[in-house]
Amino acid sequence: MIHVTVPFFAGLSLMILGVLEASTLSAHVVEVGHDEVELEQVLTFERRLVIGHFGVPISRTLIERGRNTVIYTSSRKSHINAKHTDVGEE
Amino acid sequence: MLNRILRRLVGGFFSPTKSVKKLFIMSAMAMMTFGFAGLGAILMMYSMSFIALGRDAASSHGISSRNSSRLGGLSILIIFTIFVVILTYLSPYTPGLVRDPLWGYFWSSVMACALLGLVEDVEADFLSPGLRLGLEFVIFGALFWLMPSIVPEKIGVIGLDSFFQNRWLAWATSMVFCVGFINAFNMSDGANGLIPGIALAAFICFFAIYGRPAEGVLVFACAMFFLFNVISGWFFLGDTGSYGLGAIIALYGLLGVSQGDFSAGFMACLLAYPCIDFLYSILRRIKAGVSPLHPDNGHLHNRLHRYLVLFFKSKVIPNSLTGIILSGLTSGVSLVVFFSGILPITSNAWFMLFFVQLALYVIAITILTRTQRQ
Repeated sequence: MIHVTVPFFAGLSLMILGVLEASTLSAHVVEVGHDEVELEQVLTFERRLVIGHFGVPISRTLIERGRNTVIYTSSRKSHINAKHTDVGEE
Repeated sequence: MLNRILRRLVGGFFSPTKSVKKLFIMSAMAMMTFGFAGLGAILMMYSMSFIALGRDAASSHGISSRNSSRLGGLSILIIFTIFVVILTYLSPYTPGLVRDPLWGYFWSSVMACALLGLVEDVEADFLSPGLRLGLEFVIFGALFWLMPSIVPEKIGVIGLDSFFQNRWLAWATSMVFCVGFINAFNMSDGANGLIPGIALAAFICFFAIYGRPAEGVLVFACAMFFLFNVISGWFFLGDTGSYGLGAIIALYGLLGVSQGDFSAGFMACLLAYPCIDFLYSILRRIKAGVSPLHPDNGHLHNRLHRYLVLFFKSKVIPNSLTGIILSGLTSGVSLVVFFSGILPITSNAWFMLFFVQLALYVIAITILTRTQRQ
């Protein structure tokens, strides 16, 4: 039983860590106004380690394509202009 | 070299077995590609491969020679659900999410197809083939009724376009296409990495075209499953995976063609192997005087595996090589042509590439069949 549950929950935690890191990264880029130079600067070694080499272009594409449809729910949302989505806008 | 590294890492506790080596390789590759998230997915799949539920005997397969779990599709479903829930409810930022109630019908149908497969994975033959087929028609019929925008008005094929001019015929044709496609996907799921490779290529294309979170998560989940399936062979996609992924791809294809985002020829090329293999197998069985849905080991992947097995001692390598060769030569080539930009995705010239793939399939299966008869 333990050889099923331990790797399962360890895997789950690591995946959650990865998604939250990508999400925090995206939130930071939105905060500074979708500045791609900023994106390159915040992509530190530690962040690359968490989301991986293929995770970086996927996160970048999501940030670029989703700029008009972003749903931003953090307490810092006052800085964001495009905080709500319009149906079918994409 | 790998033995030395592993002995240093875990040598104090136990000597590295073949399974530990495989887990190490998969984890290292997952870390390189998708970081901790990738490693997490591999660990989760590893744990699920131990579950006794949904385990298949090696004798029930045409190719695999070991007892493996059929819960691969369930692991993809869990990864997808985790990402969607976290992105929607827990993260401060959800990119590119379009809140349209019609997408609710879309994903509910996909989920219904996956659950239909899950029932089969957990308890084989719990539902009779006829009932399963009937339920598939009900699911897609209801979806096209509730979401008529998904049904294309034309697909750019002379003869078939007249069907799509009539609303009822278009509804019925789309339904038959989707049910046929998910069964074709299920039928072709016979070698490690074959269907996961085709699904991965399709989702990479969809992500490049639409760039939404759902496609991104599916690229991640399929890439991790492909890695796990090809290297270890401990885990199969199962009916949950083939029905669920098949439904997503068929519906994305219909929606894309209906919106004019890409041509039907592009989809045909991308999904050439399951479509050609399904139609060829039906014709072959009718010619042999057996039921068109009677399972057999006469598929191209069975024949190619039988040929490759002569050159390798390992049980997993010929199996995985079969899947990689077939998915690479069909969907992989389409992916390269798509990214090279040689053919625009809205062009019907993709049908030419499809006919080349069809000709290569017929040549390959004819040569292998003759060789193996001798």
